[in-house]
Amino acid sequence: MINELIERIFTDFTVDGKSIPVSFLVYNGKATTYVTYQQIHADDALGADDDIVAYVDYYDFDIYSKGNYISIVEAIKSLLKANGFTWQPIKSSGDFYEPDTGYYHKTLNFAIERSN
Amino acid sequence: MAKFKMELPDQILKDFERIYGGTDKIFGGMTKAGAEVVYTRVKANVPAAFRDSDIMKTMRLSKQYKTPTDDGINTQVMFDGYFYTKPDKYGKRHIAPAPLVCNMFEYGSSKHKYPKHPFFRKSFNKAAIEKAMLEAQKSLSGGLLDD
Repeated sequence: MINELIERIFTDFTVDGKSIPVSFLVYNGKATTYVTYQQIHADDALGADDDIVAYVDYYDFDIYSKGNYISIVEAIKSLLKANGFTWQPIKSSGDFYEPDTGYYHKTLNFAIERSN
Repeated sequence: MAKFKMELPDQILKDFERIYGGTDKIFGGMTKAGAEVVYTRVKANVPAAFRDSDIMKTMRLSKQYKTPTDDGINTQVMFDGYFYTKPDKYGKRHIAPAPLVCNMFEYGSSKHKYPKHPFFRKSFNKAAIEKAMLEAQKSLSGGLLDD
């Protein structure tokens, strides 16, 4: 359900005039800038009557790029915030560079509360 | 004019003094208790490849320390320093930085053969950490600070 929401949010995701593919878990296309997403874990948020009433889903959004990706970071934050997600700075990564592939990599983590 | 004078009982004043004088010890012990919860969970959540690797020797709790900017009291759970990798196909062991290897597992890479295996972030369970910290608060304050 959340995946459907994410797919809908990122339909025709374009940053600075460039279309950026967003896919679940892995990307198998040919673009050199892309985003993958996946659920990382869930945590209980509210319990009642010996059951979980609400919980929080945590999602990672991994940006891979061979160029400047700052505007992609800002676009993702803004889109997800507008759709009820909350950015989790402490669960997000710093900036990575993979020397063997030439990719920059940054992980942004977002939380969304859901009812059981 | 009516006057009312109230004195706090000596015992309460002594209790306040005891708490005030022992805040660093109490807060330090609380962060340590919380960090121990995370340490145990990280240990349980590490990728299978870590279990018989020397990287586990680099995992530890920091000393309790104060951050100068805000006087915050902290205890860190960390993978710190370098370790010898398992032998490669030539039988050679390499020295690798533990935090870098942890980051690769935690966040993955663009290469599909290295999918992410988050183990560190998901070890921070807020409810379990708070419970341990409150228990430490109660015991370190001699029962004066309870919840």
